[in-house]
Amino acid sequence: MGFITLSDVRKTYKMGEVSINAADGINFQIEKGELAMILGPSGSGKTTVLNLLGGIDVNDGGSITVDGANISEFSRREMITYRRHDVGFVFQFYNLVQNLTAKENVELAAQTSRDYIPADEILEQVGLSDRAGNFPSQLSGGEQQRVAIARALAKKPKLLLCDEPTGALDYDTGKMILQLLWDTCKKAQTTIIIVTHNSAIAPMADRVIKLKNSKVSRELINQRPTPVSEIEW
Amino acid sequence: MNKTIWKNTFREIKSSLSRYLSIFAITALGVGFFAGITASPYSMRYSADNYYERLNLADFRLVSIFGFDQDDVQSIKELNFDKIIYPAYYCDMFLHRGEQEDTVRVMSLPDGNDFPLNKIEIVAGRLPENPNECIVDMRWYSPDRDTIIGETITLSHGSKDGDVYDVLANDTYTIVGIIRTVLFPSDDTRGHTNIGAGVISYAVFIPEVNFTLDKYTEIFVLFDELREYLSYTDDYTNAAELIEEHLDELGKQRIAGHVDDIIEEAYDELNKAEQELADAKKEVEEELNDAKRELDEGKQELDKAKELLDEAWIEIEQGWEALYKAQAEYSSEIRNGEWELIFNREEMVQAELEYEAAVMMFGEEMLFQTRMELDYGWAMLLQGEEALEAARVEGRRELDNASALLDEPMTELKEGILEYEQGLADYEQGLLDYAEGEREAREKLAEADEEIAQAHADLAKLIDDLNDLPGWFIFNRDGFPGYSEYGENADRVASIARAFPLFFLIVAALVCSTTVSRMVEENRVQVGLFKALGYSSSTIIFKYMFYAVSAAVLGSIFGILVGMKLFPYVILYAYQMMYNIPDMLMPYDLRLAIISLTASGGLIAAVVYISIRKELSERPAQLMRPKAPKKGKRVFLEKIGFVWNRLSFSSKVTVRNIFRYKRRMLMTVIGIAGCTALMLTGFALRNSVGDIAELQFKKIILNDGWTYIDHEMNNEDKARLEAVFSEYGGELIYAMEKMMVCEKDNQHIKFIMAVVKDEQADKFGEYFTFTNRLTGEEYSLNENGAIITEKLAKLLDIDVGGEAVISRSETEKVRVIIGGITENYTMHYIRMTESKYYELFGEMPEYGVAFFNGVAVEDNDELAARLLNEELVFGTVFMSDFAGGFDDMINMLNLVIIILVSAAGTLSLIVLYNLTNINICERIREIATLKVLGFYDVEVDMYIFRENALLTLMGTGFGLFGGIYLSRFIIQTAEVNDVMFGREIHPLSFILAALVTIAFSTMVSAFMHFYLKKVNMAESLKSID
Ligand SMILES: Nc1ncnc2c1ncn2[C@@H]1O[C@H](COP(=O)(O)OP(=O)(O)OP(=O)(O)O)[C@@H](O)[C@H]1O
Ligand SMILES: [Mg+2]
Repeated sequence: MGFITLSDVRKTYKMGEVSINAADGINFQIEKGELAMILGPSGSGKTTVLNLLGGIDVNDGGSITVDGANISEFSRREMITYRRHDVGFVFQFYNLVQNLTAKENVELAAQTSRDYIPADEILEQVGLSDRAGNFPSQLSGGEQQRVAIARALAKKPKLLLCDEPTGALDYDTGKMILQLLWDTCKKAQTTIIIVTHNSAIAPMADRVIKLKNSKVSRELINQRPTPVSEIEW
Repeated sequence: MNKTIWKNTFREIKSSLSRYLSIFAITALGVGFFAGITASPYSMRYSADNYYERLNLADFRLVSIFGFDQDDVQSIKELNFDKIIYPAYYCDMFLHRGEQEDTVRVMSLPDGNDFPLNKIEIVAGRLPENPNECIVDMRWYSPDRDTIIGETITLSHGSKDGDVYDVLANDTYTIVGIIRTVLFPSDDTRGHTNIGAGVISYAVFIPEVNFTLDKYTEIFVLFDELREYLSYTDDYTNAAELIEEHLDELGKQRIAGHVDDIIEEAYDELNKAEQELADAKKEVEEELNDAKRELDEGKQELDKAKELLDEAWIEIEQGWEALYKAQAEYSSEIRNGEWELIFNREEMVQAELEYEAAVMMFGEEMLFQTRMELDYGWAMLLQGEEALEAARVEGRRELDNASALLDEPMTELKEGILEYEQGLADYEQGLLDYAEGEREAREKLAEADEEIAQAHADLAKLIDDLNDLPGWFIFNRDGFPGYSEYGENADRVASIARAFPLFFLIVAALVCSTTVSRMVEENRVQVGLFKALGYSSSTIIFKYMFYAVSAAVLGSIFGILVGMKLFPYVILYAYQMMYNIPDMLMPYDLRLAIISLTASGGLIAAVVYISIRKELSERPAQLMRPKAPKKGKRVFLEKIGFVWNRLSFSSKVTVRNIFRYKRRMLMTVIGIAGCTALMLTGFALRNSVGDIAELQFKKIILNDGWTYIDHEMNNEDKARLEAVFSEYGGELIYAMEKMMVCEKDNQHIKFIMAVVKDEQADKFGEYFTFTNRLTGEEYSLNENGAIITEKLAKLLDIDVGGEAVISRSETEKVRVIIGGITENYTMHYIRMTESKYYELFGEMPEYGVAFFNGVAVEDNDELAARLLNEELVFGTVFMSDFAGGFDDMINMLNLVIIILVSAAGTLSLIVLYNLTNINICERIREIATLKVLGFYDVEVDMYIFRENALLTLMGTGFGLFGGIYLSRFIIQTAEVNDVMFGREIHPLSFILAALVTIAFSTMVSAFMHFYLKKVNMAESLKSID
């Protein structure tokens, strides 16, 4: 049994008469401290799986176990607590609170946590200590994403989930973000799952899970991941 | 419009039904409240008018000092208008029922109980069938209202020496029914009279046949032409005024006719009197002359008698003279004879002696001869002596005879003289009497002359007065007791309607505009899409116009339909507590409906247009790109590090968020402030009216009551009255209370002039509070002079030192310098001391009221019974009975307040809901982010509601503050002229208003909690907005 285990996870969206299987019996495992990457074409169910993993959504069938706990059986409150302490999220569009400065955005997450990294420290880590007092609108996309990552990391999550973290960024910035994530994974021993439809970045991952039509089509383990700096797309 | 747009529009409505409904609800509430309250005065007038028309309430009541005869009635008939005339009888009398005595208006029931005008409606019992049955109007104070049917009552004349039988054939009646008459729409008053305490308690109707008067005492007239106008409107008043002029004209003519008759009669009488006086004068003159002549004749006779007496006197004197002479002669003859005899006797004695001697010498014989001679001599002497004696007797007798002869005429003469003297004395007395009589007669005649002159003067004055007569007294409906008050109440509601709902409407409009502009913002992508697809701007505008305007119009229609029934109904219902107007009609006011509809529709259309025009001006590509989220900004508070650094993280977030959405913040604060202000006004209105009784009866009036007394009471009566009171530990202050009128810009304001004796003025301060409400200054009548009550001062717009103009007549004005303005809530007073009053009015006050203090409440009944026996006491009022009178008014206001508070509450609910909803929609990503970050439900709630709470608190604060002004304005508008509402807003009202607002805010938060809980993180974060 892995750190994260999905077995026969199903998620069906009903839209009136039609029902769409966004996850149609998904099985995979991810070990602790791995940087996993979920790949797949648009509509293949990547975000769905990530949301189920992050406790943002609830699966209809199968089970999801994270660090020994079956989160698919969590109550609403347990689910919140799970999100609060164990999961960090990074989105394509950063989802920073516009009305808070970079530092405050980090604090927003940190203050809810039992054990957290002080905002200044984590901003330092992502290289934004000099922009701590800036509002998101005053930051570039990459900087915003770094704030988002800092926010996700501030509460020392067991699991960092990133949905298309570089999707809205240019090549260099994207690379920098990936580097940051990789460093985080390796230094802080944080399990990271990155969702992307860009298979070019797959080599940097320890584990790659490919989705197709809401099913896992292929799963491979990379014994020697390529450093981010060497990846090009 | 093509089908897609329609479909799209309806899909839009369906998908954002809650927004659609919220526009609907806000407009429904705003327009409903506005239209409902605005329609209320109309409903009041309309219902009253319906009632008046249904029961044929007269337009005019005519009264004439001469009464009305058939000719008068005929003259009205001949007026050139279609009309109904109802001549009737009335008389104000005392009604006795057991111990109870009431002042009532006795009115006639026409034959067959068929009122042509002022119809009545039976409330209980039946109509009279016999002449000795009566019905009473429903304003029967006694609690045994249900049992009075069947009771017997007795009527007595209003004036002390009047006789009920001068007016009525019968004074005892049996009550057979209780009725309501359209003539008295108000429960409050039955009008005034000049008997008893001056106030009519209720009306009693008795069959017309009982009235023995030869002239009608009043005529009611209804004009068909006036029926078409709604009562209490200017149209009605203006039309009625025109007709009143005709009536006035006619009245003047008729009165002038009566006056001519009267003057003629008076002249006749005067002429007769003059003639009588002239006759009397002549008679007196003749009598005097006769008397004089008689006296003169008597005098002549007396003179004649005097002459005769004088003559007789002379004769008698002559007789006496002769007698005296004869007497003297006789006396001398007798004396001579005596002397001779004596002499002879001496000679004889000598001769005797000589003889003796001779005898001695010669002897007797020798001397015989001589003896013989001597004897002869003696004989002769004796003879002589006898002769003399005889002569003496004879002479005396003769003399006596002569004297006796004289005696008779002498006595006669004496009697004559006496008689004469008596006659003379009589004559002289007669002369005096005559003089006296003449003086008296002349005086009397002079008096009569004067009287005639006075009569001339009187007649001249009478003619003057009569010529000054205004004609008939014409009372239009405003002069009917209670009629105009209802209209004033309608006006008052109208004035509330002007201020209140408009405010309401503004708040609603603001909220609507926020909602609509938010909708347009949310739809910018779609707008861009439509634009890119080549739809014209007008088509796109149409879609949103249709959306918003249809919601607003439907809401308005709903609001109008419900509001125009509901609010008038509640208000009519409330006023039914004070008025006997049973009709409750709530017609739809089409004009108002159209105005409200167009206004709300127009307003919302304008809002849509303004919001969307901004979007449409952008290029489609721009529109389709997400609008940059509102940028974060530092707020000014952050510059004050001292404060900012102390705030907790969440407080900082809250503060920053509040200032981030300034517009919404403003809307929320204004909306909540408005609602709080409305609620505070509601509560304030409640306590200010509730306070009237409390303040007036506990703080202002410090006495236990008063009694109306005959102002001609003498000291003895007063002492007796005081003794009665002192038995119960009470003391009295006599005062004058007289209704007067003061002037302000041609407006006449009635007030009561109260006057007390200077020496009691200080004590008067223990009976009434004389304190300025604002400055707290205490006044004394002696020091401050005239003291005016606060509301009157306000109405007259005068301050201390200013002048109140009291008009005693058209021309005579008295100016009073105001020395103090005292707190007071009901009625208007100007109070002063007797000396001040005398100085101003040049007359002494008539003390017709006695205020008392110190009587224990439980003694009231006994004291009242005692006073009932006092002939010079007309009625007694106990303060303890009084305070309950305001309950009805307060109940009525409670209802109005419930309307206000619940409407304001609903509004605040909708405002808060709507604004919170917008807040959440705008920040859905932020919320989803928080949830993703693992915020518990409560924490998410708090994140949003902390702002709401703060805004609510701010709004409440501003609302309480603004509510002070709003309530001040509303209270002053709603105030009756005669009453000053309490000005203080109780702390409890503030607390309540705040609590209710906060409660509503909490309710909205509670409701929103479920909404927040349901926010779908995955969904919200997926979309690119
Ligand atoms: N809330 C939803 N309601 C209905 N269908 C949904 C919902 N979320 C996802 N789906 C459907 O489930 C399927 C998988 O969606 P998902 O977002 O997981 O795809 P994805 O792999 O993340 O695609 P992309 O690379 O475009 O982000 C899609 O067909 C999508 O239409
Ligand atoms: Mg996706």
